Amino acid sequence: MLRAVLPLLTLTLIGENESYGYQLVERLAGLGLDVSTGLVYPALSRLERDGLVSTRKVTSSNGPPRKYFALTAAGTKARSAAKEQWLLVAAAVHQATEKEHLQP
Amino acid sequence: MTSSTLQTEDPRPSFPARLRTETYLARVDWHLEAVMNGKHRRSTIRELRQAILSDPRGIDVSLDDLGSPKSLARQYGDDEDLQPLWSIGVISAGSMLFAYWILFLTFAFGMLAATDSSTPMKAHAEFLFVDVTTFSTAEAVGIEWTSGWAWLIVPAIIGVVSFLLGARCWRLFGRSGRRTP
Repeated sequence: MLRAVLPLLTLTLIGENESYGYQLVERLAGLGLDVSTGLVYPALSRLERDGLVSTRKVTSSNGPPRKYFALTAAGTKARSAAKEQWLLVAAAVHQATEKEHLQP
Repeated sequence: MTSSTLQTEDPRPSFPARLRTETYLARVDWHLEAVMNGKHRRSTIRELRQAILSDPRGIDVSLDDLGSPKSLARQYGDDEDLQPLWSIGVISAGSMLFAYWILFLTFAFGMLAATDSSTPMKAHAEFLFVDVTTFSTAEAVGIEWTSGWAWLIVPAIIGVVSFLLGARCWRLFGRSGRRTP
């Protein structure tokens, strides 16, 4: 479930603020989602491969340089499309579960 | 997970931590062969190394959070068709041949020990189709084995079969031709 919405979440968070991989994990944790780096790093790699995010290296005082991810124009479009799909799915799930709740 | 719980790490990891990281990355690399080509794989491993070394939680926590090398590699694959794992095939074949030689030498030296305890004596036996002879006299002690077909064919079969099984060669026949660039 989380894996399916991870691209939308990642694109949304990166759209708000340029972030590096572990920082994204922390931001997702801040939203109450316990996501491992083993899930986020491959997701970021796929987004980069598909040209939805751009990257730049920033030197770090605490180890090797960090790779920051930013949203591209294609990423912005993909985020809007994913959000639209998510709203459709969420509305359908909500409708179905509410019906079930109302049945005696 | 939050920054308030993070510990400050020494920027330079210790040798055991570095060794653990490199071992982990080598295993990820072997499994990534199933989902990526060489160039993309090298770049992914390089980025993973940087991410692990710059993780403020420390290397042990970082590696635990990434999960097993196999499952991490699968995540990178994004449900694509899995390719054969040739590197693991080579390692499997090497390991099986090494095991074969160890067993063969253990068998031969075991025979020699038995022969040597009843000098003078000569013994014949067969180990996986290879004739082995040991002898012990007042003048000499030794092991002989025949250099017939079995001497080459048996290790070759063990090597080829373990290579094909280790490499999951059947994946060659289930491919749709899609491959991560």
